[in-house]
Amino acid sequence: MTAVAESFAREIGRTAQTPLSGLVAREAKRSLFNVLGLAAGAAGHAGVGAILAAAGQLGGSRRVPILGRVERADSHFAALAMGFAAHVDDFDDTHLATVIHAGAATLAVVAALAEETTPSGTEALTAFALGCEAQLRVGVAISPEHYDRGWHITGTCGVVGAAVAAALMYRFDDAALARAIRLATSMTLGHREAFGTMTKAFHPGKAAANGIMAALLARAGADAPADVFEARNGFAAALSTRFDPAQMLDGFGDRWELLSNTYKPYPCGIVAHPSIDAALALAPRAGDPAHIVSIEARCHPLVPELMGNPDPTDGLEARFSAIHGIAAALCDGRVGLAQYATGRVRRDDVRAIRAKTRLVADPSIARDEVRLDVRLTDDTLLQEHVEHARGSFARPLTDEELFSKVEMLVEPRLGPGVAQSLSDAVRTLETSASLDALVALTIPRASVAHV
Amino acid sequence: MYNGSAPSDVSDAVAAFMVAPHSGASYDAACAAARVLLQAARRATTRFDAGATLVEKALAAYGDVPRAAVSGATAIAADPALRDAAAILGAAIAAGQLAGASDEVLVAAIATGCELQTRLHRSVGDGAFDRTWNARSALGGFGAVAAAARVMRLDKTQARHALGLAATQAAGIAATTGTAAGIASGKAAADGVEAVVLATHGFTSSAASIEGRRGFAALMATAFDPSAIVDGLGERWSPFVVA
Repeated sequence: MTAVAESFAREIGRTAQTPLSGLVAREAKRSLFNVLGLAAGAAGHAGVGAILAAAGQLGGSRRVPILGRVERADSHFAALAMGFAAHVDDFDDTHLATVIHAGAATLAVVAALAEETTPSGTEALTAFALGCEAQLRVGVAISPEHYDRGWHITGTCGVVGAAVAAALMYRFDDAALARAIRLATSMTLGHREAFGTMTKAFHPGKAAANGIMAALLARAGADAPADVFEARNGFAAALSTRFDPAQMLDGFGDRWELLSNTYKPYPCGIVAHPSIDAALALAPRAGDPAHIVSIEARCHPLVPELMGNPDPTDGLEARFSAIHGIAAALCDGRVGLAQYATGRVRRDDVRAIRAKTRLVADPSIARDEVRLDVRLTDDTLLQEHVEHARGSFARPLTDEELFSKVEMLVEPRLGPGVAQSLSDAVRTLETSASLDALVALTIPRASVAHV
Repeated sequence: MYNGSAPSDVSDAVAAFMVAPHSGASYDAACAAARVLLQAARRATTRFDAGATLVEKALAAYGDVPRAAVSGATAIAADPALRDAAAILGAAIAAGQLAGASDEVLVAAIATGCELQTRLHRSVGDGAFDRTWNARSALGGFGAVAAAARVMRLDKTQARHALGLAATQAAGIAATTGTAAGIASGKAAADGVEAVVLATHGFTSSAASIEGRRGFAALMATAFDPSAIVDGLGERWSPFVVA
């Protein structure tokens, strides 16, 4: 029987030779546009600064432009920086069945290798779509046990997707693509212990850099055993108690996991989104937050497990606090990046509301659902039931909502009108001869201050 | 499965060990062994094997230090006598290039890296761990980061962040052997140096990366005995024996 890695590479290689269907191309572009906005918008983050400072000491020739920055780096550090930036706001695409954020590592590979491999727009979009699809397929094959155990699936499966994207950017044949995939299985990373620190966003960044390394080694002839996925001492056995290789292979090119990608309306862990939806819907009725006595969110058990922090002390911790999301929604009537600025997180008004908020785990509540009760000083009980959160699979973000989101992300850094230009560049990607113009749109002019 | 809910300060003790000055007869013996390792490693890196040559070619566009870390450790891993310490040696030598460190510093760094890696291996039960993971890369990254942290003179907080970066990158499946496994040691060496440099620039990571509920031991080991790491850490040393 053919080994899984070889079959997987053959399916990917075959699919790469045929044009993406209209439906797949559309979703690939939505994912790409969203994650481009994030990578460019967050390029001023201190973690990106640290990565570029490290690149100054460790990097090779500075050839590769970095989305949202004026500096350049080698492809390794460029990929690390861009994958980090794309994920650090916790605002990137999410594949709900696996909780993979596939766009960050994949974009980072495509952008980091574009200077060297000069892809057409079509080639770049295909590499992006298949880099995402490959990691989602691997993720489905080992889910949910893998993530539940504590792995950050965006890193572990991201490495494989990144290797696929890199191999396609380099226009490998199926044999070299298979070698890159096999080598990537020994380059996994991502413990959920790191959530709440810069290392969470390091995971897709380094996954991208590792994927490029796997491709470079594969190009030079390195290889790993044929059965790296299915061996009893292989990838799947090390990372999960479940492995269903059919999920990687069956209907590849016909059935796309990428079509189940979703886009977050709020910059925090996705399990908190139903609660924020409910709090925003309820905020006008609640009025002055000072009149709130108590708040109870009846939610899926993952919410307190992943995002139960009752009193975050900075913006990063707040992204893992559903309680902060609820409090910010009730205090400010909106939940964007500003509500996760450390200064906002520490203010007394929002702290007071957090102290009155309780999460109640209820296994009968779905992941994208919440029941929110808010009691006021006059004993009024306000209730809000969100059946499907905005941005969930059942209630996807519209193109207009996605555009508004990217506009909010990039324009403070890159100036007015850039979101529209980016949107146009992504929409017409198949007809462009290169990625140069698209990348150039994200490079700040010297006169624009870093934010 | 190890239950990480019990409070522990393993990672904190390890971070302190990575940067604290060490002394005593036991430490001196470990340093003597480390000196032998360093010399043998230098010989190994001058007679590049096929794997190291492949790495040099493949990673030609990388910076000199990361490329030297990967290819150097790959060459060292080709020597059966040195292979267990390849990531540590590759990281120490590469970080030494970056910092212009003396041999004395490199020896202390290698001794520290070997001690940490040996203790971690005992803590996760060598046999069980090795059936799933390639211990030379999956634990080598810890040894590498400990060695590089000493060469680059991290403070304790930086060391804890660098340790977190190493923990979350612990990788390499047991199925991969031969040259690819050697390259995995090389990658662990480069990851260790990179983690240390990132930490010097303020990059942050988890506080309990080894023993935390979703950390290294909980995810990657079927058994975990933290006392194998912390008992006598910095006092009792197990000199690395070159086979």
